[in-house]
Amino acid sequence: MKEDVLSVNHSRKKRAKGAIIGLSIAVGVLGASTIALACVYAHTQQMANDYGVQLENVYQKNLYDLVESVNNTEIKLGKILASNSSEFQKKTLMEVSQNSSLAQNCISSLPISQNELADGVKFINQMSGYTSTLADKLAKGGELDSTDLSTLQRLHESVVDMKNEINDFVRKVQKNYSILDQSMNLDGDFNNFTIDLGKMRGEDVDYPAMIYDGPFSDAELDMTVKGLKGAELNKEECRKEIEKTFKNYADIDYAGEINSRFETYTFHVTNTDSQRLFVQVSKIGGHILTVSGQGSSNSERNITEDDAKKIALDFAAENGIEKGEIVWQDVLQNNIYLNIAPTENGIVLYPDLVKVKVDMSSGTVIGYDSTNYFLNHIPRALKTPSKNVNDFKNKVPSGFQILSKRLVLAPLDYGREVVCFEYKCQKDGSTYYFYLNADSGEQENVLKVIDTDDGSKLM
Amino acid sequence: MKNFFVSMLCLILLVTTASMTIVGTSFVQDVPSVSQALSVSENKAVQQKLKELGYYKGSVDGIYGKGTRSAVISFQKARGLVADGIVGPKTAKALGISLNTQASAQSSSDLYVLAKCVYAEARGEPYEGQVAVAAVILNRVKSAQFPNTIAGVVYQPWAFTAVNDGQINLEPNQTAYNAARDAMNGWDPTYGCLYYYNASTATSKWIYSRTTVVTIGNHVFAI
Repeated sequence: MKEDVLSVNHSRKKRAKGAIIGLSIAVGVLGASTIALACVYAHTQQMANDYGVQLENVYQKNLYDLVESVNNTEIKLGKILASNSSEFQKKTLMEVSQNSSLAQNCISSLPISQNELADGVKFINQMSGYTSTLADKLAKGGELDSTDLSTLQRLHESVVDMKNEINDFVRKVQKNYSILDQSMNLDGDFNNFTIDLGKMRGEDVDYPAMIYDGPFSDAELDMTVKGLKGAELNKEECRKEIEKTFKNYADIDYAGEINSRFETYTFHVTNTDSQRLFVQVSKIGGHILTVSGQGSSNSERNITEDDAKKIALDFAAENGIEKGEIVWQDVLQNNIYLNIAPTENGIVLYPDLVKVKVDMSSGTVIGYDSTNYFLNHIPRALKTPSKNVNDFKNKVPSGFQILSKRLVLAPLDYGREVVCFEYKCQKDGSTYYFYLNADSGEQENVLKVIDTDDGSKLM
Repeated sequence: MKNFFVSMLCLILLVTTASMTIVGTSFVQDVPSVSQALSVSENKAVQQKLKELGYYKGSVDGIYGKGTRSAVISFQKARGLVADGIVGPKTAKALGISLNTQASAQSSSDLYVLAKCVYAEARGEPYEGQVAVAAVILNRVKSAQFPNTIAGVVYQPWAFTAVNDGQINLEPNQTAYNAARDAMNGWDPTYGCLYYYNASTATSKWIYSRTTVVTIGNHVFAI
């Protein structure tokens, strides 16, 4: 009996000892785990802090560059207004343009809530475009007239206000202001940094209008549709126009209307290959303006490139693009992209370019864009120039082998169109297009064929 | 009791490991895969040679797709080369073609950035909706109110939700590429829009003040 009791006691002691050891291990593991978690947390916090510091440094760098650019712009505008030397004005206007461009880069790299500073960015971009346009005018022998000087005066006043605001702001930044922290604090639609910096475009700063034909000018964006003619059609009449063009359709669904630069009715067209196309038809004249479709994933080609060209030209002709000529092509995957230019008196009209995408498996048009054509196409009454395409051959830089030549209407900067002789040339394995003014022989533009990972481009 | 302690121990270790995993991956982003970086003309030469040798049956279009890659791998295996599907100097030499080491072909980085943004912002939208998103980005590049490059517009802080939350680092699919390419070729179903939003998720009051032009899929496009 005594032995039994001793045995039970011994067993209890053993269990208790085991429990204590187990508990100690558990506490030990728990402690170690807690320490491990604390270490991981501390490490993560440290990493987050490091990332935060790096980001803050990038923001601060952009802010200080912005301040310097605005300050330099103000000083240089003042010098331009003080100077009477057109050479100095030209050089300094170019510098102002570059300073403004840098300011735009800096402001766009700061964590500003979208659109709050859109007016400020527009002003800076337009200042860059306007000053480079004036520098160009001086480079061509022109002078700054009273309107230019008056606009520059108002620009200068605005930049002085902007300079004061941004210098006040940067003094605030120097007193432990964190752009990153403030950008993470939202107040309504905008973060605190945007609100603080927003004073820069506030009521104190008045942005003058800059009327010019140059980069970022309002005139460049205010495109009016010149080429749409005919009666206004209703939805059903536009649908019938689609039926005429897509003869082998399986289904046409009305998808809505657009009242913008172009006024259109929109339809989803499913063709017999079950390819779904998004088709926009102009209310005026019922012209097919845009077809957007991805094409099939079938990699088998059932038509040749020549077949595809005929399909594209026929499609364009059915939609009013007469006497079209294929001026560029590129094959990507199983789709061929073709650019068609209409012609007038044998002159290739580049401003009126129509773009077609043909699926080389199904042989159907899966992409079409005639918006450029209807934006720009007007009867131009172009006359054949007195010079011959061979008259200016010698104006092509030496060393270039001329591969082909033709007469074209070239779209130049800011809506300008000039009849040019186009010379496709080659040198050192690279292809170039030279555009020489058909009257004067002056070089108006040079394009180069760029081979990229994703096909060829003309730039 | 012993089982209890063992269970506790396992639980503690599990929780610790899980916590470390969650904390450890919070800063990890998807990394774009390395792609074949030959020019179109070089890819065409590779395809043509592989076709002549009977490894490649697709079209000679200069696109380094799955068919070309598997043909390159088959060729490399047959010649005892490293079968990685990449045409480097050794594979090119074995094929009997010369690579232009001066890299006259430039990367399509602008197209890649545009396709990434389209995929991040509009995957799941209809094709024309993806073209439209790409067109809005390109319209912004042209507009004075926005940065003047594709990367400048895409990475403008606070401009796109999918850029802010890191989805921009997902690898774009072929549809996003096609949509980006169409927009770069001039397609714009929005006719010049500068903004879009998802009407069911947009929280900004400001965006509703813009003039609506068209709704495509879930996105409202505005100027």
